[in-house]
Amino acid sequence: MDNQNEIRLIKNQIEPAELLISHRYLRTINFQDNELRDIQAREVSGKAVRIIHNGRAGTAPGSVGTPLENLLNTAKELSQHTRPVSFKIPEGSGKTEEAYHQDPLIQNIDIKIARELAERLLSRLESELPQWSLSGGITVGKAINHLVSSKGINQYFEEKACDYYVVASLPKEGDILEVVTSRSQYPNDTMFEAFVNDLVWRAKQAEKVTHIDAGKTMLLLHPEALESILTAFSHAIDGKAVFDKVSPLADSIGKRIFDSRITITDDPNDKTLSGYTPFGDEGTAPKRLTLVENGILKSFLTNLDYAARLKYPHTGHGSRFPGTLDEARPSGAAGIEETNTVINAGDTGFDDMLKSVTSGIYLMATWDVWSGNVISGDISGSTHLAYRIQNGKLAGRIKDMRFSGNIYELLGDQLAAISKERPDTSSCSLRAPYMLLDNVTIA
Amino acid sequence: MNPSDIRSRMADVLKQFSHKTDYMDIRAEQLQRLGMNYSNDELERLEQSEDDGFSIRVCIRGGWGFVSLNSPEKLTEYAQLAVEQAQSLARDKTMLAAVTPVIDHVRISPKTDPRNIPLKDKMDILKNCSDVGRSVSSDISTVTAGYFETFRTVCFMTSEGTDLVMEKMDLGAGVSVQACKNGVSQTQIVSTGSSNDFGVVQQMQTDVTPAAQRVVQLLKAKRVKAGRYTVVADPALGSTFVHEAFGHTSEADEYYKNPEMKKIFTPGRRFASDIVSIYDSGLDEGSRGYIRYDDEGVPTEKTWLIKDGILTGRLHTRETAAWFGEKPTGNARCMNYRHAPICRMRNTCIAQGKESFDNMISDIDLGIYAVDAPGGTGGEMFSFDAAYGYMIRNGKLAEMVRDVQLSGNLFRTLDNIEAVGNDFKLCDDAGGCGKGAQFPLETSASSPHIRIRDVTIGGV
Repeated sequence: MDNQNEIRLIKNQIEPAELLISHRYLRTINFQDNELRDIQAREVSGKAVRIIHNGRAGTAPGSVGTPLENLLNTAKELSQHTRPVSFKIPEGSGKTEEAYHQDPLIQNIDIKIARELAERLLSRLESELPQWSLSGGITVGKAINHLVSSKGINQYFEEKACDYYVVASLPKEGDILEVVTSRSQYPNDTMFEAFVNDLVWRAKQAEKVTHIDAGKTMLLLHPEALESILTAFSHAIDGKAVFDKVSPLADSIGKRIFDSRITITDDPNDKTLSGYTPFGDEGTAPKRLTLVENGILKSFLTNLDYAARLKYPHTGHGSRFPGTLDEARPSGAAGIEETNTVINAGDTGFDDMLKSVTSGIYLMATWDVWSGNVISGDISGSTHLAYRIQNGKLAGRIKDMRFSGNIYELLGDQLAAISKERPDTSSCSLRAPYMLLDNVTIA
Repeated sequence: MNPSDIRSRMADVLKQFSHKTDYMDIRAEQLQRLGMNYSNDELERLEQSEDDGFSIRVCIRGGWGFVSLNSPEKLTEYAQLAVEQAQSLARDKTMLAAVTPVIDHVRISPKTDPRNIPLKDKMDILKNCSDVGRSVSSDISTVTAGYFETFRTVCFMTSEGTDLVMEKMDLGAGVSVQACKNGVSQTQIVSTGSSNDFGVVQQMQTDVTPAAQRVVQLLKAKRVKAGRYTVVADPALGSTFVHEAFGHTSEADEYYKNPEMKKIFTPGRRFASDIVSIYDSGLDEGSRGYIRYDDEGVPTEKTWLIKDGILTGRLHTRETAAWFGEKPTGNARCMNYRHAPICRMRNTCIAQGKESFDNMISDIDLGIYAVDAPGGTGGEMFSFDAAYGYMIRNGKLAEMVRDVQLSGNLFRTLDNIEAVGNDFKLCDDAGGCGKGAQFPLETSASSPHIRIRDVTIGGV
């Protein structure tokens, strides 16, 4: 730990004040069109302060070299323009709390292991997909977040992690096919095989192009596609949306919003997913939180500010970073974000689900899922990677289709089945099953 | 460190390491940013921030090393690391299109300099937008208004002798008006941006009332019926289309080593109907896509991509230009010192055509006039959302419709453009372009009205 002078200074502030310091040490190797292209090393740091000055919150982010006194002065000066706040910066024990989380196979932040994985992926995928062009990147990195406050909070969290992705493309006249997949854990041999098999399966199934008529159809959702549809739900349970009265669920705690087979939990403690956080970004650790239980809405998500404004429990979901390994600097103010979303498994095997569909679509990836009418839950999106299902079997990729519906109907009356399986996916903070939906509009 | 110390340090590092490389550049960047957001009548966020840092890029026999860091004390250590990284990937030869080294200091000369506008006045503009928006109807539930300004100074030196100091200004503002009634909610956004004029933010205030009136009208509008239609896109939607659907596929770093893609994108091929011409320009002073030099120190230009339906060019970095044997176009751009430059757009435009709007809709029996585009994504397949639309029935604009989403295939859609309007509008907003991990980068897009047949529309 460094920045000892700044830590002392923030601890000694008479007014409630916080300092959040971040460091990122990242090593990346990129490959393009089957060749290793570049190696990158990034060491970026930042810090941000929040101070409650005369009952108003002032915030100021800065660079590593910005003197803390300057940030505090800026935050105080700007606070005079902000609204009075009713939240308090949490009290800590005064002791240093440290937490370390490590991808099991990332001992050191060394480009060698990233390069080894890149070469292994290229070699294996070139033999499996000889006609395809392969691009992608692997990042290994260390992320340090250190939150100190004048109220006794001193939380240090260090994480070593790995992200990697592959884009396999097969361009032909009039059809530039791209299959993209990613993971957020350095793979052991089993995981490596699973990743390769998943990508190869997606790619080979996509080579043949077919067609489906517009109309109403069965839609089998891969968890990655399910995640994009759930963005409308994420918006609706955000404490700020509830406060602003732009959430359709503002008055729905205790009411049925989804099919009774659906239970959704926000789980910050699941270390196998990328949203794991021991402390939260505002000094209060988020707890495992049931959002929906048997279809009934149980909770919203709040940060300190909106918990106070809504007079609702603080759930610890204040967020000052957009992502774990992202090198973005911290923000002084906190937004509201989910940690890991976990959806319960169902009782139908994936194969049985597929076999049950006479005619429909298996939707693996979406584009641009959008809600023009957030209060109703209406959504529409493009099928980025989708396959036609005919008589219980996949019959080729369909292109240029749109789907639309209402999230509360899609995951309500239109929900036909939930799978037993919850596969590893590119959605690195989601553990969810496949879902089969009935009567979905496609065009 | 003061600027002259930084430049001196950069020159020392170049001198120390460049002889070990085929190419080396160093970038130092200092950024000041102001950002604020109103939510209804409350100031939700007000932040002033700064960010300083460096990047070094090295190429050795085709292998690239890139480092970024904050501490000037570590420049030598990281320069050595960049050399080692590039060396470890070295293959045959470095391919970089030749450029004449430039020595220049690019200064900004704002029309209205936001630094001369008191903080309170900026806040008052946002507050006014929020008040005006909410005063239109009791159905309006939320108005949010945001503003940002950035001032950036970049020092850039290369092993080939380029020595640039580039000052940059960028600003943007937007207002989102949301109305809810009887289980329906609708949102309208007005947004603006500029690289030299705070005046656009002052002007934006006049757009808020019409947007608020429109969002109330949309509450009563029906959802568009899903299907395939002839669509007339307004300039804002045309701009989104040309950026998302065609602009990204013009970026040569997407395919410069891919023989199949090179075949598809061979200059001289027909790529669109013959009334369509498209270009990308960094020369439009005041637009957010305006740049004097790109982030490899290459002077910017106007690059024709399609002329009369024929593919004529693409957007290059120095490396992709060398691979194609073409001249660099000044499109190597990075979001900041934390990222290496990649091929990016500037102001991407569909060139003005000849058709009047009335003529364009006159022979459409059943179609959609799609207006504005708050978002979208694209590639060979594209998808974006119109802010609102009108049905076109029997050659005339008919009822307003909501939740209009368009998607399609680039190749078919460019060929399906049936008419290009005699108007033309630069559409600068407060958003930005995303590619890889680099979002948002300031870009612009411009278009006339365009008419496209057989567009897929999502809806009921």
